[in-house]
Amino acid sequence: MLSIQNLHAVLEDGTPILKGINLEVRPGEIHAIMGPNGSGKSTLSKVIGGHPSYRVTEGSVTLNGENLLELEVSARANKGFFISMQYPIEIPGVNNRDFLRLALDSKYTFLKKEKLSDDVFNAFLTEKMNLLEMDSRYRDRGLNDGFSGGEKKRNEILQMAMLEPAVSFLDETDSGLDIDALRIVARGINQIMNPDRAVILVTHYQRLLDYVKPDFVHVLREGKIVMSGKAELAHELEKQGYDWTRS
Amino acid sequence: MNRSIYLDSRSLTGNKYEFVIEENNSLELILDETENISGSYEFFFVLKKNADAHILEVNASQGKIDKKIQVKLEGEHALFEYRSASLNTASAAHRTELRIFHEVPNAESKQLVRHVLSGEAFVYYDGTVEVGKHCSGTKSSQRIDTLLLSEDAKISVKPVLKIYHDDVECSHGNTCGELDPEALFYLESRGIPKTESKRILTDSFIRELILEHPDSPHRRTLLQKVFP
Ligand SMILES: Nc1ncnc2c1ncn2[C@@H]1O[C@H](COP(=O)(O)OP(=O)(O)O)[C@@H](O)[C@H]1O
Ligand SMILES: [Mg+2]
Repeated sequence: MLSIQNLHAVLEDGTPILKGINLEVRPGEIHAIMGPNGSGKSTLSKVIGGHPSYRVTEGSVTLNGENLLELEVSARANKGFFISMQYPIEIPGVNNRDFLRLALDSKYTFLKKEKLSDDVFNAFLTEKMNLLEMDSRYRDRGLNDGFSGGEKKRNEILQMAMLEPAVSFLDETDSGLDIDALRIVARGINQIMNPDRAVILVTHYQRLLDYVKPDFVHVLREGKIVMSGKAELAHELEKQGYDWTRS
Repeated sequence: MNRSIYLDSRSLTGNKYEFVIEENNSLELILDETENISGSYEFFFVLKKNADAHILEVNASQGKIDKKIQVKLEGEHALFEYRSASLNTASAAHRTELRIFHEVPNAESKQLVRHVLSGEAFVYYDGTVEVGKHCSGTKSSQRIDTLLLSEDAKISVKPVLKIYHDDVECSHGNTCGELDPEALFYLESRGIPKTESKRILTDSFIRELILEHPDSPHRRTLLQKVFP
């Protein structure tokens, strides 16, 4: 469903960051991407999402056969691509619930479907917040405003659970989570998975992969996937460290 | 005694207002300039001991506005707060000349100003604070933040502090920039179209300022008018 071919991307000043990424993600699959800091994992998510800091110089990204790279940022999202950001942004003046409502309304408008009624929306939100064991006071707080690192990550998963994307790219969502929060976030990820959806997880730790079982593990290094394997590869990496992939 | 006054564009333009806030009295003044008209007006405030004034202004006029505000803090522990938000576009020209005189020790003045400018809007803001020689324990702050949404919009800020005493706590700062591209990307990446995402960010910038003003029925009326 998500097909990335020979993807090259540079910064505005021409510095190359992604240097020929190939990745095929099929429905129902979970892919883990590991790799040293600075290797381009977050950049990959942002290039697919359409962040204005990067320019694609070569290659393609398609979602269900459609070229994502020529779409606006919001259209890519509404077609079903979601990023759980490594560093979610705080927007104090925007209420969390209103924001989710707007995001969902935008999606329904884009898909030319009828928007949810207030009652249905509120019930849906309550259900997802319960799933993620989020206190109801998060509804009316400013978007990520003053949230701790872990609360922000949980709020990202809440957005994912509400938007039900076809492909979710979770960028170090497990970093900075305690054991309980990790378990809850993992529950959110497993809950969204079904045979029609796919998840890409960026992580440094095996512990998330104990809860969310990947079908494939890839190592990203200096803008390229240098190694791919099954779930065992993550164990091996944890034992040997990333240097082992240098060979 | 507490007074709250709501003035709209029509009652402002062409007029001159003088307020003397007596000892232990409090004034809330809402300046609703959401209507699109031109004109000039003047305010003159005198604050006695323990008096406070809380002014909240929202200007969304596309016309030519010229205002002068003079404030005298004549009594100790007087507090003057001025919060002003402007959303100007087209060929709006908006001039503010604010003069705050600290004439006694231990009084406080605050200015919190935000502009969102697009089109060929031009804003001139001069907020001068003068603190007299014998005015120890003075507190004065000034913060002016501007979002420039078009290349032809312009702002000129003249923050002047004249302080003739050491024991004074003053802070002032001003920023000028565009919408935060990371915040914009965040909203858009949730499926909210660009124009809508921009509007959300500028609205929240203005809303935050309005919500800094102490809650009151008049504040709610203004908020409702700006964000129906
Ligand atoms: N907007 C940017 N401006 C400057 N450098 C950037 C930018 N985005 C990414 N980089 C650089 O690209 C490289 C990859 O970054 P990133 O994708 O964040 O790595 P990872 O997520 O794997 O840790 C790093 O060297 C980083 O400094
Ligand atoms: Mg990263």
